[in-house]
Amino acid sequence: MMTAIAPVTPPADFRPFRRPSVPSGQDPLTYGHDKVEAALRAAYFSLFSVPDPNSQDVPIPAELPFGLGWIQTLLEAIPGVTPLLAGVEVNEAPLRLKTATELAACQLLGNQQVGQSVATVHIDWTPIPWSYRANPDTRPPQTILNPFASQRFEMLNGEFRFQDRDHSGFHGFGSGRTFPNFPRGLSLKIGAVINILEGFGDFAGHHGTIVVNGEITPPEGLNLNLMVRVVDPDGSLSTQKPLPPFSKRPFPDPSATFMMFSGESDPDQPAELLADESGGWRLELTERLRLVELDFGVPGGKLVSRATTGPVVGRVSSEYIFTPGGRNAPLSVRTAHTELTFGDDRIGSQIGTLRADLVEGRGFPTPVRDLSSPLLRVGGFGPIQGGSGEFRDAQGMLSVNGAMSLFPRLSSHLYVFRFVDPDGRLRPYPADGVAPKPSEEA
Amino acid sequence: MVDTTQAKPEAESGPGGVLSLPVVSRVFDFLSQLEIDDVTFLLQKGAYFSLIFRTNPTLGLDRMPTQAPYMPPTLRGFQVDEVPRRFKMAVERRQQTLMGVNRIGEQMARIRFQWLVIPEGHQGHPDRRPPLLPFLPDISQRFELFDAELRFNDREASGARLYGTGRTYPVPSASGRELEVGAVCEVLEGLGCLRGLRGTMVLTGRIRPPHEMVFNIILRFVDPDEMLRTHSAIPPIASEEEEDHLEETFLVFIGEPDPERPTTLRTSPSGRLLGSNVYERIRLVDLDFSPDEKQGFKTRMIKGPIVGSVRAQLTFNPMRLARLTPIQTSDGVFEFEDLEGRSIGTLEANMTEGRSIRTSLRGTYIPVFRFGGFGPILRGTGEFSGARGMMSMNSIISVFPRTLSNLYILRDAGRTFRLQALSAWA
Repeated sequence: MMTAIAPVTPPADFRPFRRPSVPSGQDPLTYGHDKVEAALRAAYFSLFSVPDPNSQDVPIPAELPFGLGWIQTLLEAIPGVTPLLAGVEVNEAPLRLKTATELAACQLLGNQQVGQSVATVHIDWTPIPWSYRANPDTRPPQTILNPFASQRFEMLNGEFRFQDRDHSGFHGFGSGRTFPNFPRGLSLKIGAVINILEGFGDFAGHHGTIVVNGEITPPEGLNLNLMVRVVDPDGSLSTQKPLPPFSKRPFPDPSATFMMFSGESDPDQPAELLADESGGWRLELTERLRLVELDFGVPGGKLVSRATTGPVVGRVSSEYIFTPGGRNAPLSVRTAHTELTFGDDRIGSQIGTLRADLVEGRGFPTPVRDLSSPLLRVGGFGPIQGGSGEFRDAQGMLSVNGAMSLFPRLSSHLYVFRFVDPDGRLRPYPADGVAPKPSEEA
Repeated sequence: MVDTTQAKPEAESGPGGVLSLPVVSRVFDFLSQLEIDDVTFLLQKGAYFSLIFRTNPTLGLDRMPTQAPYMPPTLRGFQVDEVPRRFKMAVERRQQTLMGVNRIGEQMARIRFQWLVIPEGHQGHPDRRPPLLPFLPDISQRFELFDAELRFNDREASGARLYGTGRTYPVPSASGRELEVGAVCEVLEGLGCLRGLRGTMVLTGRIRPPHEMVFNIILRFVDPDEMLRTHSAIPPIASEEEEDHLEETFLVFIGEPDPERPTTLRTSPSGRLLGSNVYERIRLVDLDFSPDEKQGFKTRMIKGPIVGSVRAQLTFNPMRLARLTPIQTSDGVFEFEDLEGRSIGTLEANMTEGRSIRTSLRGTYIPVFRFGGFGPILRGTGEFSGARGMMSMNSIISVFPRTLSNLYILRDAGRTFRLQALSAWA
């Protein structure tokens, strides 16, 4: 079954300061709290994307102007050298990724296990100019991939299909940015945000956002976390029952450790909405951070997600800066002064801090039945800028996938950290490259 | 197996004076560093089981009166038959100090042994009953854990047959007479899914005569193939009702070689081996285990950040041919640090009684030594002022290369260093 989702509300209609009409005597900042809290519920599908062994990636060589095509011919003739690329038709076979962030011995640890391939993904991955307004309807001008400089890119014609009974999945469109690892190699860290345009099977009628966090080595190297967050107010895509176990595989990227935290509104520090001089608006947001364990499966042929939140282990404070993106375009989002503090100063417990702003993000105003104001789905990413304590010298990327309501002020975000951790310092097992025993089940 | 805990460490034995020869000394230094990282990693591969049990004060213990003719009918030991519970020990940084977090969980096993008083200097044996001696709570005495067996509640009733010896240390307490207790047992035979594994059990606790006992036991099995290890989270302890009844605090740390201060050999002026000067970094550690339908058990050890160092003089002769060798430490000082590396306090404690067991280990060229030991905490300074109780070790060391993995359990007799269950994480 194929169901198109209503198009994103044009930002022109999204007026963050317009107070919703509420019954007299009610405060719009608190009215409808329970309904909004339910509307913020989401199902998470965490995947680790690797190349599809059955369908190779297809590099798209750049067409060079001014008779310089001989350069491409020359590069193609040299074994092991990749010609200049204008894009890649990417075919991925994402693996089921089970993640759990744990607190043990006064430190936070990321426990990650991958299982079997559970889906197929196809996208046309295309670098784009900085000034180009990414959109799903037009082809961007040719831009040559440069592994030495940060570039924007688009993901066109995205199709994602799970291997469940109904072949659930979605069409999506997204854009992101590369962060070169040069001079440590020609690989690129990437962050991206994808909006679900159309859902199939169990995803039919659901809005959702995917954030991408990982590393690629064009044309074929690929190690990405895809975090799919699907709005699920009635819980039809969620379960608390145990999921079928899977056979573990060695983790495809032993140099990466993923840690995830579930952010929720801090009742002690309500968010504050402010107008921005540039015509946009800002939200000063503080959230409590909880440990979270994420997994999903297909019990009885139906796709379901299982999220188990643990205790509060810290707080995040951030200033979200929203800028209207133009007609029919999502809001542009970035953050400033984002700091995550783990531990609790009030009782003298200190684990560490992390600083990481979203350098790029999207905001998708999303109407929800029975709510007078739309929710704002938010996805974004940005490099880790530093830290202290356990996270002193931390490197990697943060991606955020969540949603917020402005009336009342409520939010729910998933913070996904991909740490560069070749020694396994942030994992609960040593850095000996020893994968969890295949016989051990989740 | 003969208990040699009381045998005098042969301080002046070993390879004669050859260590004074420069060539021999250089060969020793070379061997001391050979593949040190690999061997250190191997030593750390262990399966740990932490349990706690207390006697039911209303039921008491089966007391074992002397039956010797011409002796007055005095107590010479106890018959212990108890049900140990899972015991989670952890340490957290709070403000500028370190606090123990102790959680008592579900009943996990059954332990039975005869606790028998033995003479000083007695070399015990698991198959030979000791001579009869009365239990005297006012003096320090040695005792034997005779005919000991621990059985877990898993499907295979896994466990171990054990034998070991220990010592009592009378201490003043608010409630009158009390005895601190330490003991080291060797696993004579692994049972069920622990069959074939070599392990050491260290027991520490207290006895409040006439019949109240609280003991923590740490079983450490050598598990180079990681048969019992899990990488997944272990279900947390659900019930914490028992915690409030625990009068003491357990803190656990793991020691590892200090790369900036390597362990050095101690030799006599004539070049004979006396032992070593040990320097270690100590880390927080999280130990836990739970039954598992497939593996029998899942155990997990997670090392945390460095929180200090320990230095001591080890008196131990690895050249002895005997399988069991006495081992002791002196001048032992733990120094704990805050996040900035500033000292926050010290604890002085020595392993006054210990037993090492030569153990062959695949991946090492020559056998390594498992050892367990214990001794009273002598003094605390700074944040640890007023600490009193017992330090125990459950360890494994290699002489060539010179490396170690020492598990330290500090048992403070009070609750000063205990963090209550209610915390920021609640």
